[in-house]
Amino acid sequence: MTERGPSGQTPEGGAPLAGDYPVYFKDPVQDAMMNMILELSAQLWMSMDRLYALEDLLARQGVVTAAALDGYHPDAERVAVLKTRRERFTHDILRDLKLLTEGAVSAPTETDKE
Amino acid sequence: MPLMEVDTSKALKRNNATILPELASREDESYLDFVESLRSFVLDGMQFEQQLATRTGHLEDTSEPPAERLEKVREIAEDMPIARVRDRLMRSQQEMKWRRICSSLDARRDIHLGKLEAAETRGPARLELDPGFEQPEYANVHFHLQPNGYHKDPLAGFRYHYGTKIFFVGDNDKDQLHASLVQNHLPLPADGRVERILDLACSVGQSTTALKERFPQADVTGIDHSEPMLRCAHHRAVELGIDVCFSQRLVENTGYEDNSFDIVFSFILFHEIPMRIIREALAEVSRVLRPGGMFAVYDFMMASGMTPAQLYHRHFDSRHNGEAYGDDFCYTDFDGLLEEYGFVPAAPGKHLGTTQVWYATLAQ
Repeated sequence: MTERGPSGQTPEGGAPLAGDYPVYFKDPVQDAMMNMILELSAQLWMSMDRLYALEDLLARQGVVTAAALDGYHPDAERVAVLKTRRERFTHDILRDLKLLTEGAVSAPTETDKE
Repeated sequence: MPLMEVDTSKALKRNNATILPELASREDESYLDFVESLRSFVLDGMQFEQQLATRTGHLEDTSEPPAERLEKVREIAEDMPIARVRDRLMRSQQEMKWRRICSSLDARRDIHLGKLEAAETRGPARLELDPGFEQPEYANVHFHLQPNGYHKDPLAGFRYHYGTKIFFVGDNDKDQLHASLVQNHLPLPADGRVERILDLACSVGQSTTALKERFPQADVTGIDHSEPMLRCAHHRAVELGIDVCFSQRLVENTGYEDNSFDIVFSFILFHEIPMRIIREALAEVSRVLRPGGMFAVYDFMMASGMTPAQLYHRHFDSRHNGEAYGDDFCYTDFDGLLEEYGFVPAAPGKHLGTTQVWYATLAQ
């Protein structure tokens, strides 16, 4: 494990704290991949939860059928809203790759090891 | 490895015994529900402890110094890929939790700040803030990785409260763990007299209100160094209609009179302060607790009694979860410290999960 980042010290003794971007695998890309999977899972669950709620409400009120959902096409305003949401979705999932490219995380060296 | 294993079935008096901060959206709740499930999986579902235990059985003997056992456990874990995955997941769930809690609360920042402000003109709970209060240097830690720690953001109390909901994986949504400790486990002083109670480092006041519910005749005060925590605690108590006082004071220098409390209650305080302050806090409690009063301490268990997996987690938690001073506390002899500051056992200590309990008093 390596410990990097600006918050690596405690003010009065105590344990040496890991920094902001600790690396747990031999290759920091693996850490990033793991975080991407977790973020994707969280985002997927949000969508599933929303979908379950929608389906439940719509079915209770008899508003929408499965066929109507399959034939849905958003208008221009709706497309813009979806684009904003999709960009946040993508950013959240790929956040750790961005950190990698910014150099915030790097591979562990021998001197980093505890 | 639950923090506390307590029977909460008889502890609750109210249907909704807490006021969790409102998130900005259903999506935020869904996201954090996932994080809560992820945490539950890391703690129990992936069975890391069991796998580590199969390789460290020879290190169960607690007669060997815990620091030496820890080094051997870490050497063994170094060769276990699951340990890397577990550490990564444990760290990631904390980071995901705080990112979402902070962004969600910040999205309605003015509303939350308005609630805190509005509560300050209402009772029955009281709030005493010290305009000249100087934060101690040792508190400048991002405890549990909470961004800006406990006192540098006005919404730190709300952040902390929702964070603990996930920490307890849903088992404390209605303060049932706090209520159980107070209702089912806290012994009375030998003479039964309970008129004034001090709750040390009360944070958002879940113990403080639980103490008032058990001892409605008593004057109950929660103290903390953090203004945002105290404001959140006060708001919460106002919403619940509970008459307690929250006051901005240091545990090592409370400013209260000698022998002025019948019970001093401490829930997960001592692992959050460095050894110098642990000693000063014990000296302060021995001053403000009356002879025969009850000093109840619920905190991390001592390293000397930990299993190999618990030693591994403690090491990780201290360094990778912002528990900067956790080792100061866990690797000391707290029984010996209590004795050094004049305390004697008042009731048998116990373990509730990984929480260790001390009941102490001062000679009459």
